[in-house]
Amino acid sequence: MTTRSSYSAGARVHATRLKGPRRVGYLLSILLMCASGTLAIPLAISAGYGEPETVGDFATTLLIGVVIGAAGYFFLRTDLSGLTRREGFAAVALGWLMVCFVGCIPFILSGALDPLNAWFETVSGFSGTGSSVIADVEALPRGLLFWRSFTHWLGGMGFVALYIAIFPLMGVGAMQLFRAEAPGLEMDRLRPRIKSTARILWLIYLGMSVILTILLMTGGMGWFDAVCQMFAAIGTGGFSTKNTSIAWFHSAYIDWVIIIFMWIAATNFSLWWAVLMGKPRQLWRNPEWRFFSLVLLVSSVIVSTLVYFQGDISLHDAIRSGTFEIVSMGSTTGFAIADYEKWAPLAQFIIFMLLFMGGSAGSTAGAMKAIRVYLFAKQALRGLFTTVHPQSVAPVRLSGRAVSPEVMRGISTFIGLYLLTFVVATAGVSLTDVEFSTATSAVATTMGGIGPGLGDVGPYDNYMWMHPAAKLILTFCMVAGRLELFTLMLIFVPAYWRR
Amino acid sequence: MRIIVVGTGDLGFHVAKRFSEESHDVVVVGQDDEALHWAQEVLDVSAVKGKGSSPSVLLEAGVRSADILVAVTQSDETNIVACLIAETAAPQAVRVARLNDPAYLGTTGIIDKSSLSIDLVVSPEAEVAASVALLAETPGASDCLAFADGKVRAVGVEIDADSPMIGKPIKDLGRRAGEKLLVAGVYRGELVNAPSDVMRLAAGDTVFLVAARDTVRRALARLGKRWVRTRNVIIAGGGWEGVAIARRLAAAGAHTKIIERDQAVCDAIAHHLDDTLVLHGDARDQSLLNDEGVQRADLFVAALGSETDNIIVALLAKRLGCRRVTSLIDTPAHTAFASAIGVNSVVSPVLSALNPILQLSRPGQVVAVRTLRESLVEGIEFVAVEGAGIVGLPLALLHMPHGSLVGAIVRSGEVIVPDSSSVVQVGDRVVLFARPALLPRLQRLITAE
Repeated sequence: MTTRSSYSAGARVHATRLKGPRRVGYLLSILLMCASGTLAIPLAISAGYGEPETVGDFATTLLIGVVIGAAGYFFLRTDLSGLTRREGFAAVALGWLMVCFVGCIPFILSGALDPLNAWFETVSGFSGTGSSVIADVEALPRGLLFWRSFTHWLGGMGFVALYIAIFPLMGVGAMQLFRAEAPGLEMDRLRPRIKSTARILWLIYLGMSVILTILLMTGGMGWFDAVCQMFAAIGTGGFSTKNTSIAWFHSAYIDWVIIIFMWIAATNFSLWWAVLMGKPRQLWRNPEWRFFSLVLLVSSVIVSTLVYFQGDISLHDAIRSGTFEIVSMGSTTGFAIADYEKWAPLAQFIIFMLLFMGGSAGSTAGAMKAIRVYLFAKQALRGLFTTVHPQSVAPVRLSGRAVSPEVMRGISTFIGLYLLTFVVATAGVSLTDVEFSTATSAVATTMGGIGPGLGDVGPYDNYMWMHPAAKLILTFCMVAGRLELFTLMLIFVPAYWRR
Repeated sequence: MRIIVVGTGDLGFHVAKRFSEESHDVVVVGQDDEALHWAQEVLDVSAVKGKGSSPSVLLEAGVRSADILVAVTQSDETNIVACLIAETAAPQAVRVARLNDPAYLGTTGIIDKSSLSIDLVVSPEAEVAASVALLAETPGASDCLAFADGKVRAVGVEIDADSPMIGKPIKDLGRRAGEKLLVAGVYRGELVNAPSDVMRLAAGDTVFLVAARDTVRRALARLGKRWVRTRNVIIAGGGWEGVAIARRLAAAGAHTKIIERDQAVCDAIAHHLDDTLVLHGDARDQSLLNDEGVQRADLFVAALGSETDNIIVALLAKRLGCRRVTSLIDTPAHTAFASAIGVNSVVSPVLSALNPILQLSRPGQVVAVRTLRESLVEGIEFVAVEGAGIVGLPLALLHMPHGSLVGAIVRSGEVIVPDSSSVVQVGDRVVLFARPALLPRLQRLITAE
């Protein structure tokens, strides 16, 4: 194509060199302002519950953040229309780290957590992981508890996407940001313009949230608990406001409602849009959705059977707890109503495998994404076939269409990088003298954004006891996993900074 | 507006680019994977892969809700079929097709654009020929656009080293020519919009003037340009563009020669072109150019298939003594570079073809859209209607954003070059210049609320 060349003539090269960092700085300032401004919501909750100290902590953070952000906004003000892909990645990766940093300040100021643990808790929240370092969450002030759950909801859909939907950013620049944050292969464009797409996705998200809150309140939850569990379920996070998670509510109705909504939130949102537009068949025709739902169904049946025959449990309770745990882990939420560590080894293995797969692309779920696993498996089987028929032209197909070799290469690269990260991070965690099943499952669960693992980080354990180095590694895994590896990792690759 | 662009060539890409920059919903349809991928990479558009002549592909692209369908593939047939499908699927949509074969345009009497249900036919070749003809009419100018049926001209003039205006402030230019012209901008490495009166001109600057047609000649003379009628024209390259240019200039009375390398092409075009001398040979051959009198030519047009060839051949012709050389170049970066190393003027086939298409998305009574220098500035000609923001107030009170200005007003056939106290009346034709990014903010001036 002839159009790839840029306009910049020799004399202007110097000026353009500083434009990139300036644009990134400008974007970060906007993000800082928005993120700090968002703290007004937990602040109001704190005020409502009469917690003056927490109000002060939120207000301090909010003020500092907004002032710094506003200063950057006015001093760095620049035209964003020329935002490159590289800058988009940098802005989103640094933006996520920055927002997590801002988000953990209220925890530190309130004295509830020390800086490292506050960082761990906040990153776990924004990345939709749900791994906690807090043993007794019920002792936290309401404002902090709310903020903790709220981070799930903000991070689930992606706060950068939220601000794109709201802010008058230029088209192409917005696209670069959106792409760096959105999960999945290539995003589905619900509308030709990225801004309209982001807006629709957030509307669907908002709609689901309202419906779930109402359903939970119908089931007898107070509004505070309902909203907080909703944040965690829709954002596929997993923080609960209760020490015993969803089991605390002792309600089959609540369990089933949450099962359904975890599954909804882990399904590609563009499919729900199609359903809303009166095309429900698109849901059924979507191979990723069928694959994902089938995996959850089969796993639930196997695990429920195992739980039932382990004894001393009614059939309904076996199905309920088996299905709940499978959907909770498979959708990368991480809520608990039973301690699966007491279940049969096969059930635990299935849960461990689910840590890697994750939900659909284009949803709030984390991990590798069902579509990648599905196509990767198909390609492997195709490899067997082509060994028998070396002359065959047999591309991997997805709903009848051949998947381009480029996309397949991208998937292989992603899965390779994912497993490599898993290996290196597990080695790092093991160095801090953590037992094998704990170390592997802790890394897998944080990379996939689930929350609980096996061993000493099971559904009713927490991460407080871990070595600081292990906590840092795990927080890296959370952000890297949430941003689909490349966005975060690129900024650590030296070649990325070279010109 | 929802706009479907069929075709991912240079023209398709630029149509998609401009429309998406103006915040329209753009869907690009094409078969070339790499081009589609690239379009999605750098533009805020969505892409659908497939043949533009296939109903299912167009349905997938959302043709039913389309407001404009622009079919600009290389193939006339694909473009026609896309428009026919759009007519049935979306009767409300405006249909634009690129057509090269004049037989589709009614010359045979069997079929014409309305029977093909095409609302607007674009032909980059015809647009290029018109642009070159305008340059030929204006000796000494590097850019030339016409508005209001040719009454108003926007002209770019490069200041030569021996120009009498060097070191003089811009206002001198206006005074000497009798105030009947407006200096809209000066290009000095980058564009200076609405330069102040005291800015002094330097060699190498390009001055953009807006003036009535008969004022242009005097203004050019003040700038030290000799007005030599364009009589002898040599065109390198006998492709569609070269032929269209030759035909157009020959019709205007110039002696035209085409140099074409391919014997078969020479034979074919010699059939059609009776007023033009067709030469078989390589335009890059110095002795051929000398033999054919390039030093006596008033204009040399490089219209070969390759942009780099066009630059090199133009420079060669200039070195051999041709007064004025023009290259056809589409790549913006090459445009700036070619002007810098001595090509007198550059014409972009893609941008020329873009203009009539852009006009479609401009609301109100827009008569013409012309872009200058790789879309640096867009000139919009429109009829001032009752209630439009521009009517009734002195221009100074309109608070037009920096980078936009009213270049000319045509009132009952007479060209008025406005100053800050001029007032636009209902029914005037107004020529407004602006950077494309400012257009959304200027809409209130053009349309009635």
